[in-house]
Amino acid sequence: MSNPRDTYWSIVWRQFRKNRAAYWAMWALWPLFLVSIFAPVLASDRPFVYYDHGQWLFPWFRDLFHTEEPSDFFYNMALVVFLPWAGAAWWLNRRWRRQGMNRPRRLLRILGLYAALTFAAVVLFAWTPLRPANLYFERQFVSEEFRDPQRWGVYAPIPFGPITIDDKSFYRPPMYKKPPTEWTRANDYFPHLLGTDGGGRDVLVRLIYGTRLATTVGFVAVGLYLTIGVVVGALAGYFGGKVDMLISRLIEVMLVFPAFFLILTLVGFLGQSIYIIMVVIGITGWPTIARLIRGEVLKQRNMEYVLAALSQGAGHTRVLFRHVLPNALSPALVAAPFGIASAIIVEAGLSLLGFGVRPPAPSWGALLREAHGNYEYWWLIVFPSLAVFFTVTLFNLVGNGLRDAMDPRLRR
Amino acid sequence: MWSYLLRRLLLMVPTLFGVTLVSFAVMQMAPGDPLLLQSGGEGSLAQQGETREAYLVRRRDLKLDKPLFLNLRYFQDWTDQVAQAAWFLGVPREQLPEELVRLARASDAESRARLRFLRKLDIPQFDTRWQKFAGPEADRSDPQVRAGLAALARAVSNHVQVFCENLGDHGVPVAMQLLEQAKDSRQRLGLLRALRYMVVEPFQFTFSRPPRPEEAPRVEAVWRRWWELNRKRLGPLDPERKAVLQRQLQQLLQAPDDNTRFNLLEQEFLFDVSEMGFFVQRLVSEETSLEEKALCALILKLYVPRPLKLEVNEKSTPEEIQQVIENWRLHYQLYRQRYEPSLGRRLLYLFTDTQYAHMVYRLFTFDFGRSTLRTREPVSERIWNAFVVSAPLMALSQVLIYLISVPVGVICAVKHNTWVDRTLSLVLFVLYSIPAYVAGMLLLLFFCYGDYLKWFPTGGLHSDGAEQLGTLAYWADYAWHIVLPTLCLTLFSLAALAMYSRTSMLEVLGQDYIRTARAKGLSQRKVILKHALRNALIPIITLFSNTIPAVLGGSVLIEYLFNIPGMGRLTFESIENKDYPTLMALVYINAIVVMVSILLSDILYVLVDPRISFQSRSQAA
Repeated sequence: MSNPRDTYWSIVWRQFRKNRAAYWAMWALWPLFLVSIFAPVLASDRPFVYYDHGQWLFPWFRDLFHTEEPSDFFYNMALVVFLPWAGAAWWLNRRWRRQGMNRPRRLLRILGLYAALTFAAVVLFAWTPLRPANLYFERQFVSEEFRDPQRWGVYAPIPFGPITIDDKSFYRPPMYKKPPTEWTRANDYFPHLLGTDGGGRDVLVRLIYGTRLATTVGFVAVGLYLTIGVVVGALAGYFGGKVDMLISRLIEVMLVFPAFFLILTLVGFLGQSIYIIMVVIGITGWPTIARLIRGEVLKQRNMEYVLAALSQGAGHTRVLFRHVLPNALSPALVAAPFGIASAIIVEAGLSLLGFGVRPPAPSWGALLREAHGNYEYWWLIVFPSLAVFFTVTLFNLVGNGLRDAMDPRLRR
Repeated sequence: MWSYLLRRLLLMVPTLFGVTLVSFAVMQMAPGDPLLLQSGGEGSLAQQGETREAYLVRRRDLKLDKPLFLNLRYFQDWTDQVAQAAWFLGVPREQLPEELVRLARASDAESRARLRFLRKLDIPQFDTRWQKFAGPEADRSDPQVRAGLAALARAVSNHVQVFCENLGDHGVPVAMQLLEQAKDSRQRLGLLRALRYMVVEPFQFTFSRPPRPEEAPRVEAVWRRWWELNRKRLGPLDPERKAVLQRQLQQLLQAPDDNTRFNLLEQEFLFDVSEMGFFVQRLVSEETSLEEKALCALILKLYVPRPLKLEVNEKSTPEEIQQVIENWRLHYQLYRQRYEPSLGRRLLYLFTDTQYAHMVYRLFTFDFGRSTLRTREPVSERIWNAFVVSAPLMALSQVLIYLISVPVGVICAVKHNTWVDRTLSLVLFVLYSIPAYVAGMLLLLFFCYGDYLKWFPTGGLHSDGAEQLGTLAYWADYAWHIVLPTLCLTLFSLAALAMYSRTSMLEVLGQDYIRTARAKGLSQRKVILKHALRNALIPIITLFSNTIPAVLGGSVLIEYLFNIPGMGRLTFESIENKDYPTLMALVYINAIVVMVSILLSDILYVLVDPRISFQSRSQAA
């Protein structure tokens, strides 16, 4: 059944695909990212195009470059580069296929290109004068004289913003629509599909934008602690001796503190910001990874291929990072999806306790916090709970599948 | 086994050390001064509800004025800095802005040194403010600049004060020396003020309770000096009155307890200040017992609340200043040992008189001090009260977790790949993916706040007035309250354990000895319960190390949602209020308990599984 030419990863991939639930969960994760990236396209109270007495304005586009939350800015840049990337990807894919490159490699390169383009856009538009000026900072396009025929705009499908306060519709139930007599804004014709929160903000829109926050926290925090854990664990396992003893003690010390307790304390002390939450989850999460990697590297370093590489004159750095680590990475990779799920849980929990990102920022936990004590507003509990639950389930399913696929004992 | 245990215990020492280091680092990250955050806010010297002195005493109790890891202060020469501080303190407050402007314009060496001293004080945005408000370009006619300059002057005098307070004892010898050499009155004034800031309680006027003999010389010296200063003014004592006083003193001494003694002092025996000479004589006399001395000192303090003057101001006469200087000399003489420690002591202080060392000492002796909250409760009491609330709840849920998840895991493994296994696994997976707090909110929503299903109370552990119920009803009420929290704590944390026991059981069921048992013709029941389950339980024991910490630590989110005043809530509240001592105690206790329970579970593992010996464990470790 197994082909001797198969690489490790192709075996893993085949095994992974056999697990239907995990496989579909992986596909179901794509909409999550798409929603994160395309949040402003789905929901925004800024019109794409606005006509004002013969003037054509593009407030939506300008607003992309001016956000409160850093995660929003990052995703907006991903949105800005999306179309150019899609075109380039189509062209490159065709070219590479003709050159005979295999599919996983093409996919990896194209996704890498997207990441690179996004980072380039972030750097370009955040720190250079190329950033479009914030022309309409003060202006509320929805509350202009909207009955004036000389003023009209083309809005997103859900014409509500994530942080714009509407003081006439606090805590409205799902499907609430303002009666026409109360219309004062251009977007009042549209129903609040999942109701509104204590600031009159649309819950659905906040959930959509909350996806951005949750995925950012999950990925960055886990990426951070995977990096630290892998490097530290590899050093300990590979060099052994005093280095190992020192690092092992350190790992032991860190593992002795209950994680959520430490995170809560640090975030409570250092302040409420998405950066701090990510960094704190990162610095509290690395010891488990480091311990796993250390054990794996310890196993690998006594294998003959290490000796072979060393005897060919390869340096320790090269042997460690090119030969040993790729073979020892699997426990860390299995831990990643579970880690993302738990980071999302932790972030929402922190927001529920009031230690999360600062309020008006749209976080799922912040909605739950608003509902705690006001249980009659059930929509503030049910919908964010479902969002957390589904996201966490998807990541856990993928993690399960990955674990089973990487475990040679379970191979079929 | 004993050598293994000893090894593990020895390994715990560096870990414990690391734990204290991490706790210390975490506490250092707390923004600003935790004591100030409680009252006024940073930078303000005005305290709400307590005097600056009380604040300083508390600060010194927590040793927050010490350096972090290395105390070099005993080896440093503070002469220059103390002189500078005294110069700034000697300037009358209203003249300070003028002096600052003069300082900004002067360019001699002395002024430059003064400016350097100011820069080191960490006044916020000092350089820009200095340029803007005091520098040569500053337009003094602009009211904004004048206001800025006044604010800067206030900041300077506050920071100089804080500098002196932080310097504490280290500055006193230098200040005394400078005081002896001081020529002009302004310098003297500044030095005396600096001394006042450096020393929190210069004299001990009364004995502590119970009185200690080593206190006697200091208390006596203070009152003797007071008597010398006031003897002429108060005049001699009438011998008849002396006899009365003698009798009353005896009566007070024989009073059965403190309350009657204080009642006597307040209502029956009324003395006059002029009669205090008698008590001073009794106090300093050789024959008097310690009890009597303590009583005399107490009476003296009652009638002479402020015996020795230590403060000066611009209006003080030269005689007054001379007297104050004499008082400080007395103080210095009495506490010389403290101010001029021997070289050995100074070397010892290098590492032991630091914030970190004091914290380690407090942690190792389990002396956590008092909470910084208004109530000033002892931390250990707070923790105990919270523990008593949350521990039964957590213990109950932990027991339930084991009682449910192990059988479920076993059933799944036995019925591997049947619909039973698939359904149970799915349920477990769903439970695993629901965060407990989300479930808690949904449960609260459906069963407590809904319009139809108001089955359970919305929070707390007892109904109002539960104390009046009978025993049975009281516990029924308690049970009614803990149903939902226990459900959350149990149902949504058992999945991991159940999955783990399923895997472990599956592994055991695939072993040869199970096939042998079956081949022998044992019943399925016997094979599962006797041969498989016992072996499958062994790895589960390692997870036991999570149980004790969970029982101790409580659950922050569940206790927050259900309003239960347990350990989790205590954690949350002490973080929210920046209650430094409580939090440190919590961090430390949690860590210790985790450490000990890991050790316990390792030992248990070896005891349960005869295939594993301590030798092989210690080689693996």
